[in-house]
Amino acid sequence: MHIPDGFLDFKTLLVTNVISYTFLFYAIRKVNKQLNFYRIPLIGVVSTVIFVVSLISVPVIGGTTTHLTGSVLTAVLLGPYTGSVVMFCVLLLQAILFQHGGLLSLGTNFLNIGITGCVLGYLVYKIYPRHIFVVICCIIAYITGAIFCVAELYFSNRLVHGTIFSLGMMSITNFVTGLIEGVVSFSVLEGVKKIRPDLLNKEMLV
Amino acid sequence: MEHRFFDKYSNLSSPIHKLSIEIKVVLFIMLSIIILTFFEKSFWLYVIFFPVLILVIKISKIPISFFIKRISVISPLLFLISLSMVVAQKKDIMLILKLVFNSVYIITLLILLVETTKFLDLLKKFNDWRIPEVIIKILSFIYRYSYILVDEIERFLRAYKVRCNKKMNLKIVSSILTMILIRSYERAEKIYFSMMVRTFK
Repeated sequence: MHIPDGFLDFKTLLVTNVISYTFLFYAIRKVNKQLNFYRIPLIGVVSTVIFVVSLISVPVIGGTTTHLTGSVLTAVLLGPYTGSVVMFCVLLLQAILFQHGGLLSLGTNFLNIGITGCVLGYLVYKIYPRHIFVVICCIIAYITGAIFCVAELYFSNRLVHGTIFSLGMMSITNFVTGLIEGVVSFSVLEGVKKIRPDLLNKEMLV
Repeated sequence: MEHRFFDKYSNLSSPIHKLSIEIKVVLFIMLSIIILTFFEKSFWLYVIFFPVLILVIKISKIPISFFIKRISVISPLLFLISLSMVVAQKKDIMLILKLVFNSVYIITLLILLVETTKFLDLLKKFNDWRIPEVIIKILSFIYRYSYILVDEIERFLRAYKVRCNKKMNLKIVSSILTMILIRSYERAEKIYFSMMVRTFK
């Protein structure tokens, strides 16, 4: 869930932004050093597809909507560091074009969605690198993101009452979204494997 | 087919459109930090700032309905926080009001910053501000290709509706997504290789 500007206090924003941007600059250095030039068209296409897919809203409880993020799919196709940079760009565009998340809370949302999806999701995927396992990676990434989100709201004194209830509710919502995203990511990866298996070359991942 | 999700109102002419991007960005960051740190301490500041914001919106010539539609994105988190209070049987209306005002004000400022600036000008400025090249490249990729991709998705969906009467399910969505990914990749690959043979680096 994207946190808009104004929901978190200054100290929480500062801490999460410092963590996220430090990781982002490390990821950019890795990408600049190790990226294979043949991957450039794939990066462009994957980032655009992820951005366009995120425009499609999926209704959830309480009249609210959610959308797929594609972070684990990006990490499996491009690698965790390139995936993180792509997710940062997608989140930046979502923030400035649709106000899905704010500019000041961009680092926070990058931590909740981008880093958990691309790094944590990819690390879990590395344990058992089969496409079907992507479903579990997505669920884990989404629930971790929800825990981070509730923790950030709690440390900003926004969830003084009913924190455990909020955590439970966000986890349920994110479990459903993670499951949907996992199934879609699995089908896409299987489709890519059948038609263009060269895109899944693990040696080129950064 | 015309889509306009980037800088929809950037072609209007107003004093705010004419302000330089640097000034707008500095003003946005400063005002946002002031709202987050000082406004919460005194509720009157919210009331005083409201007519100022309305005046700035009027000057920018962007319709207020556009702001209202965009501001609705805060509803999921507000819903969650309000529900947690209902469950805990503790009413803290002031907290909810502060969150709403904080978000509404900062989102309005962000809309004013983004919608009064052309996206390509913003990318050029990013270059001047030494933002890493890889980020600028990915942003320009998304800017250029997203219109083509939305057109392609619409074509796919139209073809699907004409040929099949079944309701969409996850399997169909996934196969459409796979085909779009592969087709767009092959198109991008062709362009990339033709640029490489013409010595583009």
